[in-house]
Amino acid sequence: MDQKNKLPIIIERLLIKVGDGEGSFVERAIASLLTSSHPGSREFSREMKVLGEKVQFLNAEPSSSKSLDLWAKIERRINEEERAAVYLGRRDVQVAAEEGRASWIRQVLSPALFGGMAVGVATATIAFFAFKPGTPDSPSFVSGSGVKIASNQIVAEQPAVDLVSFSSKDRNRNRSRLDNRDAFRNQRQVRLLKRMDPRIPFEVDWMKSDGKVSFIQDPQEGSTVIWVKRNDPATTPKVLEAEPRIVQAPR
Amino acid sequence: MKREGVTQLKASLAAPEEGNGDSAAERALVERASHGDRDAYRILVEKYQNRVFSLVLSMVKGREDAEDIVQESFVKAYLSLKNFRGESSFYTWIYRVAYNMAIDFQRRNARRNGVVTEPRTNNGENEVAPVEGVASDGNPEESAQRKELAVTLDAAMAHLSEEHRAVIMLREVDGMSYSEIADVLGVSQGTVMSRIHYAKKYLQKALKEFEN
Repeated sequence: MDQKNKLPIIIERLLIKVGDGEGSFVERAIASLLTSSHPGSREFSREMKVLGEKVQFLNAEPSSSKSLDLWAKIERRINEEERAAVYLGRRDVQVAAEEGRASWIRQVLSPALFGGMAVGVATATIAFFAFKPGTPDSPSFVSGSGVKIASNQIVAEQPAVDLVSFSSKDRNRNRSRLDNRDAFRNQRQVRLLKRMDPRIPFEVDWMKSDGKVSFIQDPQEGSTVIWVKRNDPATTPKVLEAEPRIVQAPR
Repeated sequence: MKREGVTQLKASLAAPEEGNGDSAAERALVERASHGDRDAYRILVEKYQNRVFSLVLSMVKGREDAEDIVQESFVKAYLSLKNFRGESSFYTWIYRVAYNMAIDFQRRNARRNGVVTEPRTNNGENEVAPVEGVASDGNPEESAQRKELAVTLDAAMAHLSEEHRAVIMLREVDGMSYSEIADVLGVSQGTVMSRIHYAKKYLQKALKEFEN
């Protein structure tokens, strides 16, 4: 098989597996499709078959080993061991542990399938944590005492907070001009919001953020919702230490 | 009486060199051997000694070393039969014992000689013999070509690690399934698959070079 017809490893493994009679129904079907439609796959399968025959041929028992009879030696060694055990006690023989017979569940959950599931679960887990609110990557709300409050806690447990300022921490770090402009606009909007009425309850819903701070009226709850940009330290609001209080939404 | 029972069991076993055991007859033999029945154990030894020997010979260099390892594996297995719970078949278990002993032997050798792995040389010990299914019509040219191919393949095998040689032997020569190979080697089926893929690709490349 030339370089042009080089197969991906996953295809090669599939063809070898099916060639060895180990493939599942689906794998056999895929292999059959591949070998009938792709010359490279057909050639690879043929080569593997020939290789198997050659290995079998090479390692076929030499005629001399057909007469291999180790029993006499083995029996002599067993006798020696048993005689020695009378005087020295039985030797502690360490041999490999048995592998249990594969149960039906072990067979169903074959390593390949299990491996695929594991990769899927791992990917889902990473995705979950990467986008889950309240993780270290997501913005956290810092109270006056410096205690971090996860954003989801604020939404769920502290529905109304007074927004008084933004943290200026890391404001100028790694920030592009565009970010600076956004941050400036965000600050201006929040100042405006603050001037309107400090008692207005604000909910910070950063999950819905489109990258800018804006405030809208929540049609269902009747309260003001602020959308803030995620992961931008400049838009991380500070939360007062004061107890959260429920204030009626503006009518 | 006891002797008769063993003879019956022996007869009920598949042909000594065929099949992968784990029949009721074999389990009965294992049971008897675990209670000290030497005749029963002898049947098991005779059934598997050549196959275990082939595996070990593919992993270590010399025939004598291979014989010693096989012999010691069967002795160890006999002494441990009382602890054998029958959760795996006897034949995968004895293969595993022998495989581990061969690996230990290689490591001890490597430490002693300061080398990791030395390719197995074909110094006439593993002479290629005519095999069933492979025509041998006495044509000297063909015979020489076949021998050359065997030397090439043997040399390529020798450059594989013991683990890779073992999977090839267990798969191609013993005809074990991936699951059985995984049991023998104490690794996952994924690892078996990966080793088989690597080993076959390596051998394929070596054969290509030989053909060219």
